Amino acid sequence: MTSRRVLPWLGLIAVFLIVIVWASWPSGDRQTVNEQAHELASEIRCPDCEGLNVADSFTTSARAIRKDLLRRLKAGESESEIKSSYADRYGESILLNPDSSGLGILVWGLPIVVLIFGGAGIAFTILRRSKTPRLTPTDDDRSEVDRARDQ
Amino acid sequence: MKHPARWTALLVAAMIVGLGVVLAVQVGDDPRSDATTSQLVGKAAPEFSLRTLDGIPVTTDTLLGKVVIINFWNSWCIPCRVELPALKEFYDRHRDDPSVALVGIVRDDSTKVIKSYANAEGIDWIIAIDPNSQTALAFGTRGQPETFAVDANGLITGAQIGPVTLRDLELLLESAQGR
Repeated sequence: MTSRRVLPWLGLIAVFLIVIVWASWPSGDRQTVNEQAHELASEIRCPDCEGLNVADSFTTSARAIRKDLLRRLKAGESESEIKSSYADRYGESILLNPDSSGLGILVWGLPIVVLIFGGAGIAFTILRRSKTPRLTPTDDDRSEVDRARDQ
Repeated sequence: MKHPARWTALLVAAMIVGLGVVLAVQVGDDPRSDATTSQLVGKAAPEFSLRTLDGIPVTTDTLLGKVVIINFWNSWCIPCRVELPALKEFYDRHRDDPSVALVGIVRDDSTKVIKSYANAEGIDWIIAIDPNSQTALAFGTRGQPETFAVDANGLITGAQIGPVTLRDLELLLESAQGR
């Protein structure tokens, strides 16, 4: 494979990697406690309503949880401490993000594994093709083409 | 390795099949099954400090040494009204037993409305107001009514989400009495 054919692929991979790094790079802006509480509230399931997180719900429990989250964050508790306290009282299902251990690891890990092996497969294919010599016409081929043109 | 791309494809396919099998096996499990039972049974009851309708303090400490049935409720909740006769009968049965206490904790309601409702219904047991529902939150309640049994050492021995019957209340009491 010539460098002319490899370059677009390398460019595509570079763009892909740049986009992933850019999207996952932590923002430089420091969150306020209120923003942090709102983000945390969006990761906790509203305990007395269906299909809503605490940030989007107006039930008594959701209001109480929002107030509690703000109080705990102001008191210096970490997000993981707060989440674990809620999971202790309500069970794991109160957390909207799947647990990163046990079966939950499949949800987080499998896409990454598929991405790595898929990327490796594409890379192997490109490399293998690049090693395959390009076909050059033999004298027989040329004479056959000439015969075809003469007809 | 003769055909690396082929092996990679096979590996990815095997993983996808594996995931499919795991999901198929798990399909019968309700991921929210923990939402139908209290996670606090067997654990120490959360500490609270509330006041009754008359302003008398009700705290974890004032109830220690007694078997306590804690009922979270409010006046506008229909299932709470459904269970009221059972609570009345339960209280009448045990009101003279100094080792047993029935405490109603009101969440999401006004003191004025509750006072009037309690008078109209003849509710004689301890009624405490939970401002901002923080005690309800500490008990991990998902609404109302919810009832908890706490033993003399402050350990939660039983809980029920939804309205209770007289039999439920007696069973909760027995669990707290260690019978």
